Amino acid sequence: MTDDLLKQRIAAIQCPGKVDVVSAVMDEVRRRPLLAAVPSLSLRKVKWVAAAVAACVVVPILMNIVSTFGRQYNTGIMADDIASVYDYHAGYGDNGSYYEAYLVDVLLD
Amino acid sequence: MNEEAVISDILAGNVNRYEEIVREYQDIVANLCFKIGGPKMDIAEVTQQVFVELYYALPRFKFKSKLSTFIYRITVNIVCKEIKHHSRWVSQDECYTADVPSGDGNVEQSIIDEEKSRKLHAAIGQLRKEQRTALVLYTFNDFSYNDIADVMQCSVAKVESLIFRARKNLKKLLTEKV
Repeated sequence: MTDDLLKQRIAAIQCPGKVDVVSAVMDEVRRRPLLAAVPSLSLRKVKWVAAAVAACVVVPILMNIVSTFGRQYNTGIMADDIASVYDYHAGYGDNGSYYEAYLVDVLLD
Repeated sequence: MNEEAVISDILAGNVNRYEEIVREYQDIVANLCFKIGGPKMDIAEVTQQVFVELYYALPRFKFKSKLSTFIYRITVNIVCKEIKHHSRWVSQDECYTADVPSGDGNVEQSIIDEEKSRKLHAAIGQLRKEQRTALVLYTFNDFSYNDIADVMQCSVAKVESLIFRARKNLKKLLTEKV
């Protein structure tokens, strides 16, 4: 079947009977008045706006959390992780002289 | 009909002028519904739905495309939704009339032509929804690929591919039926 014949045959397929929906449609539209044009916000725009709002809200919260943890972590290192073990040694060295020494072991882990 | 003036009037509150648009396009919309949706579809119901939806969509119409394209887009969307709800399309024996032009007014020839058209319509009904829509639009009012892409909201390349596959499948279906 050629392209033209196909077009002609499909074009020839007609809806049976006459469709008249004028009165039904007009009844319907008169019942519910048309709203004034509202500037439409497409889904893409909505996504961008949502992303921007989320960024404005979430980012400062995250920064706050991170910095708080950071401070706690730093303080933690000072308080807990630096476990200083003082070892006191005293005695005579090879050359016969007396010495005293404090060995400080710092545990970071 | 000066569509722009009519639409401006409607938007200004003169609802009665909407009747002009309905009268102008109702047969075209009904035919498009019939060709894509098949004889089982309630054509009057769907056509009415199209025009009600069009009315509420008018404030969004910015005259960037033709009004007809806008109407076809709404029609295709509604028909596709209807097809989804009523998956059965058409059997070959569904009753409908096909106004097939027979060259010499020969009755026998017109019966043969009608039978051919019936088979063709049934075969179109077996195509996938997108292929069917693209093919019908392709043969509808001499739509260009760009127009079809606009109505179906897809790329021109996709339209070309859909029509190519639709023709190929249609040929296969018609060959199987003979």
